[in-house]
Amino acid sequence: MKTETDILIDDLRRQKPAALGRLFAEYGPTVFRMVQRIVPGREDAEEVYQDVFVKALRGIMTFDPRKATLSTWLCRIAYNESLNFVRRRKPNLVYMDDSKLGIDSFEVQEDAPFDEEIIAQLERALSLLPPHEQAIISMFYYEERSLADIAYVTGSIPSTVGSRLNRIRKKLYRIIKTL
Amino acid sequence: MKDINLQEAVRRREEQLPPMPSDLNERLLHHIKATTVPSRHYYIRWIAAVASLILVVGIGFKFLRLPKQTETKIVEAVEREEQPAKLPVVEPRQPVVAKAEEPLQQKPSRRSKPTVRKEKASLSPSLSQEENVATAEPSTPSSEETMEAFVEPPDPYLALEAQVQDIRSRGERFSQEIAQLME
Repeated sequence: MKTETDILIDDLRRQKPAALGRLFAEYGPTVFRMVQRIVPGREDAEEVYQDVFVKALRGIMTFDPRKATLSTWLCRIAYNESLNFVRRRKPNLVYMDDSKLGIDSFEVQEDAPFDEEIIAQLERALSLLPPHEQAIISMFYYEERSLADIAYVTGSIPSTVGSRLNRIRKKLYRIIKTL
Repeated sequence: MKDINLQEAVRRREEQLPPMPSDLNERLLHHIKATTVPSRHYYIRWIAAVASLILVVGIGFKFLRLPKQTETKIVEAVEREEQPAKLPVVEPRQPVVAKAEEPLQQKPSRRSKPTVRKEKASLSPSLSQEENVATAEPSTPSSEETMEAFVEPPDPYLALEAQVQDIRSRGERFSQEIAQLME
């Protein structure tokens, strides 16, 4: 039995005008949020948002629903387009050198209690992360996506995503220790 | 990797992001309609692209073949010119009767003077009905007759001489032009 998403995909492939409106209404906010995490500036984010959907419509014929959901597929396009945009516009950006933080040897307290001060410090530390790491953290902790979905979006494998998430978390706590 | 503090920090940060503009989707829809080509025209473009590619490839093949054809023709022409003209075959002179007096009983010979056999292409000598086989000694041909019989074969390289002259004159003109340019 065809789901609503399957019907939407079929309509998009047949280039039905109404399907476009449904696609933007349903998935637009998720895509825009992904773009905003990586691309600074409103106008640039809107430009990348348009590019994402133009690319998605061109590639809708080759989209395989067995590999990922439509939402995950759109997020993957948004993630890649956003990173490409940032690299093109700001190719000389340099981020914090992880090796000097001593992350590997750093131990993070698991199941720490709710602490407002730590939360505030973590908010500040999140702004110091590179855009792609911010996106990964947001996908896991805010959108609650699975490791497999995040791996599909970032073009990686679930085990690598898991170790990257662990590393980013350690990095955040190491940063707030030095702040 | 459950971390309630980090989760809360991420949630607060996400909510600080500005909302999506309300007219963004409308603008996007207009943009896509303005730039998208209808599907039926899409196929026509593909057909046109394939047809033009075939045309280009066909023209390219024709140009590639042409020099070879021209080359073949030139080689054939040169070979024809170089073929030595076949030497005229001088048939061995048949002994001719040279009689000063004819006995009355004898029938007069049909030929009063020796004749030179005409040039023939075939190598095998053949006897003409008009000639009589003489019993007298065969007379040696004179030098003039030999000269007439023997036609010098044409020089095969004479035909190419005109082309050689042409090439030489072109070369001289070319070197003159270079000298003028160098000045």
